Amino acid sequence: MIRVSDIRFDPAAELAAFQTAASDAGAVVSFTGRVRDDGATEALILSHYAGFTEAQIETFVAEARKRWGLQACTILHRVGEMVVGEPIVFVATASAHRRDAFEACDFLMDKLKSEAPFWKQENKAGKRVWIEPREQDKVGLKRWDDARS
Amino acid sequence: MAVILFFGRFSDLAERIEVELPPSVTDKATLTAYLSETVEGFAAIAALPDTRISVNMMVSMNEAAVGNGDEIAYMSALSGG
Repeated sequence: MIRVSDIRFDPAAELAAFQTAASDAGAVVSFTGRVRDDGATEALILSHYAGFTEAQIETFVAEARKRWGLQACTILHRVGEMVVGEPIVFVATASAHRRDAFEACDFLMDKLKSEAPFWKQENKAGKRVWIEPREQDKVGLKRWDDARS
Repeated sequence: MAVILFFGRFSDLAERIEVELPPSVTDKATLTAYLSETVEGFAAIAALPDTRISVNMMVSMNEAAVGNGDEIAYMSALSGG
């Protein structure tokens, strides 16, 4: 399941639902990304390209399914305005054995960070500032290409 | 009439414009040149690294054809997750 929404979600409830749906899997891994408290950021504002963003994420999931033995996968991504502590992204993967679930979840997060059509702004002292991608995110993504070659 | 959508830093200029493209606009390069001339501030953002373009929701290569009737999206560097 892929869902991009401006409505806040509850990662615990989403994980419980995922585990129920993937009850026959031997391994379940999840990741939740949240708005961190850096002492200055008042809010995070994410935007996306409706339809295109979801289609791009579908290609990431398809690639993950080719590379690992995934039995189930869920990706939730927030857009709109979020305050400190609010979940931004939730990725859950299920497989027969742990390695596939771990690696697929890690891979999907790297793809979401660097190749998913989202744009992020921080609201600091009432002023919105665009957030640029970090070099370490690109390095994170590249290691999957390196692993394949 | 073409629909041009702007995302990320481009959205500081506008979110969407509809424009009748002249015959000289046939691909990504000529469209970018045209918008650089007609939309104030566009050229500076288009010159930033990692800018992407899609045509009708397909990731576009440099030589991709564009024209009236298309939905073209200009996207500044991505920052999700």
